[in-house]
Amino acid sequence: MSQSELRENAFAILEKAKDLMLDLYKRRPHIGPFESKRVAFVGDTHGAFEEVTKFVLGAVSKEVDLIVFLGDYVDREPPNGLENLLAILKVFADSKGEKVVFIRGNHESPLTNYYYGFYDEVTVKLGGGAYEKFKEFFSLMPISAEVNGWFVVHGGLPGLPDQEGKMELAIRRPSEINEKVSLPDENPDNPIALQLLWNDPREMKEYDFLPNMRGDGIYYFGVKPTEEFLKGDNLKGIIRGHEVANGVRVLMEGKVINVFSSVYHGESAGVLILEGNEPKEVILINPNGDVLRLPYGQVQGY
Amino acid sequence: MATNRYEGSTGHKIFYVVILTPGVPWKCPVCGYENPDDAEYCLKCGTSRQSVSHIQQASVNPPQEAVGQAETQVEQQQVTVQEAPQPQAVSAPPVPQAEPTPSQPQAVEVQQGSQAAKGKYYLQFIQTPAHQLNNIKVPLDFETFTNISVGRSPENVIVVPDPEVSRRHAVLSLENGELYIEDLNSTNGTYVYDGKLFQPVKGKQKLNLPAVVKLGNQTVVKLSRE
Repeated sequence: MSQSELRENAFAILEKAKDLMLDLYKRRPHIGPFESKRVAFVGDTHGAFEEVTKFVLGAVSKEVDLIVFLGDYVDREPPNGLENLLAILKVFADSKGEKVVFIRGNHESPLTNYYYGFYDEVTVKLGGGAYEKFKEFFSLMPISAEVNGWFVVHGGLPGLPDQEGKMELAIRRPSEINEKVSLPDENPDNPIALQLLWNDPREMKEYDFLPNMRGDGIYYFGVKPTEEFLKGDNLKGIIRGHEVANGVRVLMEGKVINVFSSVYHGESAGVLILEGNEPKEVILINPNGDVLRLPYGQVQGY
Repeated sequence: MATNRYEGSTGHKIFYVVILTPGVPWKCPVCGYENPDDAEYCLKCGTSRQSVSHIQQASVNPPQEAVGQAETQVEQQQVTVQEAPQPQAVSAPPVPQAEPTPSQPQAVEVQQGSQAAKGKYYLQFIQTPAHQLNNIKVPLDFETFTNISVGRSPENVIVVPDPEVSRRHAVLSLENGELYIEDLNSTNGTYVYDGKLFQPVKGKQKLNLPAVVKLGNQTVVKLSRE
C-alpha cells in the first residue's frame, strides 16, 4: 500500500470508530455498566500487535464474549502502535461495540506521544499532520468503565486537597466521574481525569495519597480510599494497567488487579479472564511466544 | 568508635567480631541480659549501652548543679530516664525541684512498654525502578543488625537496585526506641516526606513513624512499626 492509501485506510477506521464511540458513549468519560458472561481484560500493549493483540483479537476472542482494553495501545516498543490501535478500533467498529470496550491510557496523549514514539511513528507511516487526527480521537476516549461489577481504569483513583491541603478521595463512586470530568480533554488537564490515567495503587494503610515519582499532580493511592470508593457502589474491585508486571499482579487482597500485556519489559504479557464477576483465569504470553494458562488463584501476589 | 566500626562492614563481619573477640560482657540495666562487649545495644531489649553510665550519673549525682537552670535540667533528666527506665533511677533521691518530674518517669515507662508491644519495624518499597519490589515489605531486624545500611551495593543490609541510589546511601538505626536515618553523603540525597513535600535529610535525623523516605529520585520507601 502506498502512504496515501495507508493514510486513507487509517483515517477511515479512526472516523468510523469515533462516530460509533460518540454515538454509544455520548462523550461520557465513564462508561457502562457492561455485563458479559466471559470477559478478557488486556492491559498496556504498547504496540505489541504481532505478539499480543493479534492473539487476543483472534484466539482469545473466540472464547470470550467481551474484550476490555485498559489503554496504552501506542508508544514504546515494538513500534507498531498504529497497527495495534487500528486493529482494536476496527473490531470495536465492526462489532458495533459489542465485542470490544476500550478506555484511554496515559499514552493516548500528546503528553507522552511526542517523547515515547507514537508521534514519530504516525508521521513516518502516514505523513505530516496525521497525528492531529489521533490526538483528537484520544481527547474524546472514555477514561473509565464498569464491567461485571468491577471498576476499570488505566491508572487509579484520584485525590484532591481539602481546605487544609490534606489529600482526600476526589470521587466516591464511578458516576461522579461524569459529573466532574468533561470531554474532550487533550492532555487531559482536569486533575481527576489526569489521575485516573496516571495514579498507582500501593499497599499502604497509613497514607491515603502520596506524591508519585511519575510527576507533579500524580499520586499513589492507598488501601483506605480504595475501600471507600468500592463501597460507594458495592463494586468488586479495580482492574487496571499502567504498571509493569509479569502479566498480572494482584494487590490489596484482590481488590486491585494490575494487568500488563506488553512485551517490551521482557516478561510475560498477561490477559485476565473474568466469568461473571469472578476472576477465573490468567493467560500468560511468554517472551518466547509460549502461552501458559493459570487458574486465577495461582497468581495471587504474582 | 562504636558507631563507626559498623560503617563499611557487612552484616557478616558483625558476627565475625562477636565470635573472635568476646571481650568483657556487660549487663543490660533494663532487662539484665548479658551482652557481648561489642554490642552497643542490648541484644534482648535494645537499650543503649551508654545508658549504663547515664544511670550511674543519674543516681550517683543528683542534680545539685541544677540551681538556676531548672529548664535544661528537667530536659536532661527526661532524656536520662527515657534511656533507662530502671527502678534504680526512679527511686533515686528525689529531685529538688519536685514539680512534674515524679510522674514523668512512669509515663515514659508505660510508653516504652507499649512500644515494645507494638511490634516490629518494617520498610516497604513504595517505588523502585525494579517493579517486582514495589509493595514488598521487609522487616528491619535491629537485633541482628544494629545499623541497617541501605544502598545500591550488595554489601548493604537492604540493597536497592536503582542507579540513582548511591552505593552506600543511608543508614537506619534504632536508638532508645527511636528510629533514625542518616544520609551517607549520597549523590542524589535522602528526603523525608513532611506531609506535603520531601525535605532533604542532613546528617542524622529522627523519624516519626510512619515515615516516607525518598532515596534519590526514583525510590520511595515507607517505614513503619506494626
